[in-house]
Amino acid sequence: MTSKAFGIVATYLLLASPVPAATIDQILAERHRRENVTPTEECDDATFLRRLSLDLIGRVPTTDELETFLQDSNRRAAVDRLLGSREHATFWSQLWTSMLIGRGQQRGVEREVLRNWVEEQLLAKSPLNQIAFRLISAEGVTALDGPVNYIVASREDPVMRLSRTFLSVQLDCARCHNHPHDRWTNDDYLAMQRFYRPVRFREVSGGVAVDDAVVSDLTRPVFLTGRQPQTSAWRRELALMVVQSKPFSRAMVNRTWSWLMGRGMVDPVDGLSRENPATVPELLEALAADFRDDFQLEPLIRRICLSAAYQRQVPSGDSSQCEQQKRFFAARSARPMMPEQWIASLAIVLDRPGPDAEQLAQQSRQLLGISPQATPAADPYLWTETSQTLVRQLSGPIRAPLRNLESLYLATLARKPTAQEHQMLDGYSSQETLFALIHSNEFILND
Amino acid sequence: MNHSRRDFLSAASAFGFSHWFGAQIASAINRQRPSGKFKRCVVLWMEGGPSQMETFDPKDLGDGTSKSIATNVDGIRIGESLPGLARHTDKLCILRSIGSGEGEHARATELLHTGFAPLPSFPRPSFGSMVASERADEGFPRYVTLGGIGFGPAFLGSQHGPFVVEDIKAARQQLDLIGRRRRSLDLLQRMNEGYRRGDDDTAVSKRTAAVQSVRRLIDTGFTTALDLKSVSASDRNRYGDDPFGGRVLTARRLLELGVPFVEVQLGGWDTHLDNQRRTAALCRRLDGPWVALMDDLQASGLWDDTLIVWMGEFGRTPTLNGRAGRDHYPSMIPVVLAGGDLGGTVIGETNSSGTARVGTEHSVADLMATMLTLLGLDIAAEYTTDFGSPTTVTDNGEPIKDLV
Repeated sequence: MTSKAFGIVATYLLLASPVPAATIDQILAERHRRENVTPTEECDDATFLRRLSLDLIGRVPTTDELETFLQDSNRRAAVDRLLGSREHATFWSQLWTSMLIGRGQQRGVEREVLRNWVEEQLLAKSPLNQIAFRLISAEGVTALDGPVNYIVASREDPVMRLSRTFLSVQLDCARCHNHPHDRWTNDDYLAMQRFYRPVRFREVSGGVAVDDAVVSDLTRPVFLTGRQPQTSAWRRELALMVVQSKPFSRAMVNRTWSWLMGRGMVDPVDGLSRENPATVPELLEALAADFRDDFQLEPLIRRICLSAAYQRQVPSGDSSQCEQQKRFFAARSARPMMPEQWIASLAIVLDRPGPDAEQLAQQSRQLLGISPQATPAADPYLWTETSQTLVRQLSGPIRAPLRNLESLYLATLARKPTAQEHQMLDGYSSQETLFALIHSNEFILND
Repeated sequence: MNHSRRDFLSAASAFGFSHWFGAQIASAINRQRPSGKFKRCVVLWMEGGPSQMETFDPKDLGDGTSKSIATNVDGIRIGESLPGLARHTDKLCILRSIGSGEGEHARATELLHTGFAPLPSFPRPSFGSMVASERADEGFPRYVTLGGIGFGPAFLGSQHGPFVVEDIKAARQQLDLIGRRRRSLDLLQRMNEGYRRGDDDTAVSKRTAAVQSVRRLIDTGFTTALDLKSVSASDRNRYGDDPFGGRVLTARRLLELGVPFVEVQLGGWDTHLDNQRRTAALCRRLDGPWVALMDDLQASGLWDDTLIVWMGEFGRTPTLNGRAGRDHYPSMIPVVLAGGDLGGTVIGETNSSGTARVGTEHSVADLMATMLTLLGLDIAAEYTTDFGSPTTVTDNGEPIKDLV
């Protein structure tokens, strides 16, 4: 070991909190060596704050926030400040709710009641295994009991939602056929489906009431691990089996990773299979093992955001190199803002009051033109912009606050215009400039 | 099927003639034509489930319900509240053979829009998306729905999704506004061109293409087609001032522009209460605009290659419930096709009380296979979904023999 490398390791050992962010980078560095991938450089401070703000609180930073941050550029402090903010809990409750039940309005489902409950859980720092347990086993009335909306929204095919969301496998494919390349069979699917036999849905005033009947069905359900319920509370036992399983912690870590890094180690996040294994399984295992200690989301987020992996630039070079870099997290995977991020960011840029959580969900639906029939998005980031969505965006009202070109650029792109851009924009009103800026690829992209 | 009438029509129409002798002759006559008879399609969607008893399978039950009138085709009678259509029944192909097992609105609506029973884990492309995906891009949306329902393209790709116009005026205003922002749009395109990253990101290139498609859209006649201010007084009178009439008229203008698939919605057919009065009112709203549409398509020469489809999610119970209403009855789904030489025909039959089918039954998958074949799509073509599953566009549907 060279003295420099020794120094680095020694520093890590000295600074080691129970779960040092360094292990992420150590594991990745080893992997990059093996794959012969060169990581990109660290991103600049303004890019970091824009990225972090979009990821943690769902909007671009204000020019004031940007200025304050650039005074000391303390990235750790910025992560702590945003993680501790109410805006973070609100935005992530939006993310979780979209992941659980989608963005559409389904009959009998009270989306906002569920989102509120999730926000309370995040604020109370409830461990994720508890949150998942309560979602899967929930009983009650949709208008009053947040988590029960999850089972009502997934009643068409609860096994599909459960396996995709909490276990990262598409068990529902086995509903129709035994997959040639996967281990799950139609029997596995049916055995899982039996867990839901006792569930009763009743229309009541206040929405849909859910409870479990006692079934005298002789065939007991079987969990994917082969476990069977020992009591008559089948759904509660299912919830317990799920949160105690290793795939659960892996799936939760992978989703969190994917939301922050722009790409999952298993990608798509609900598509783990023999054909689609994790790209860096050793990292997924390490993070999942630590996560299993207390199932706390916040330390996991902090750890990822403070890693060098999170703070890299977007890739450059030829496209196969770029793909390799992104695949092994040697470069930032940029992706377009979600509608929620775009709407909230626009309010910041235009100096308008931002929408509250319910309005935000409703405006996103409008923007996307989601019909009630829309299938829930397994990944809230996975949405396709149609020309109609764009028509809605491009026809929105624009009233430019009185600002010079420089501050328009800072507010939208967190950077100053180049000399070339000054030249290009000569003769355009601030209205026209702002219109082009907020619809530009550079603004839309969280990179 | 009435063969002598059909022979006459075949001789009278080059399109009908080519159809009669098969696809090879058709392509020899006009190579630009799709292999099917029809280039474009308009669906009149009856949201809620229209009663077959008061529309296209009346039974004159003797209790004052389900009353019929004679039509201009011997032996075909239709509901008494459709007098205009009764004078044009020689243009209609009435299907009394379609049935399904889906009696819930959302599921049945999806079935009739995709041809598959809904399965959340396997989204299917809608009828409109399938047709749109086989038509050339001329700068405007290829699948437009007027009034509400739009079903997605699933694995065919987002560019084949519906352009949903809930409110025609609002949609036109949006497009007008963008039209006035041409200068800003061009600036936006220049900005995007200047924004190059080493990374060849598909999300970025898709978005650049989407901005370009909107820029192209505002220079087509699409916005003008949505503007009913410019229509003649005669048009306005014939389609009436009911919103549904306005939507049908707009659909006609979109078809004339070249939009290959338009769906128009008329809602309110879920007549669990007071079926007679409500159905009669809906029929009156339907009758005039539908006739005007057929007249105009004939006058403009689009008739021979425009397929008109009238349908809803299911039919309704032949016996009245305790509140003078009719409930869901998916085993009878009334469907009417029109366009070209399809008319003057009835396929399938029900018994005298309307409670059971006599003879042939066709599934919704068969209906979908029929419509897709008429529109020139290859129903045997194999697709691979985005999640890697091979599939075809219909659920083992067989085209109805007398129609294709």
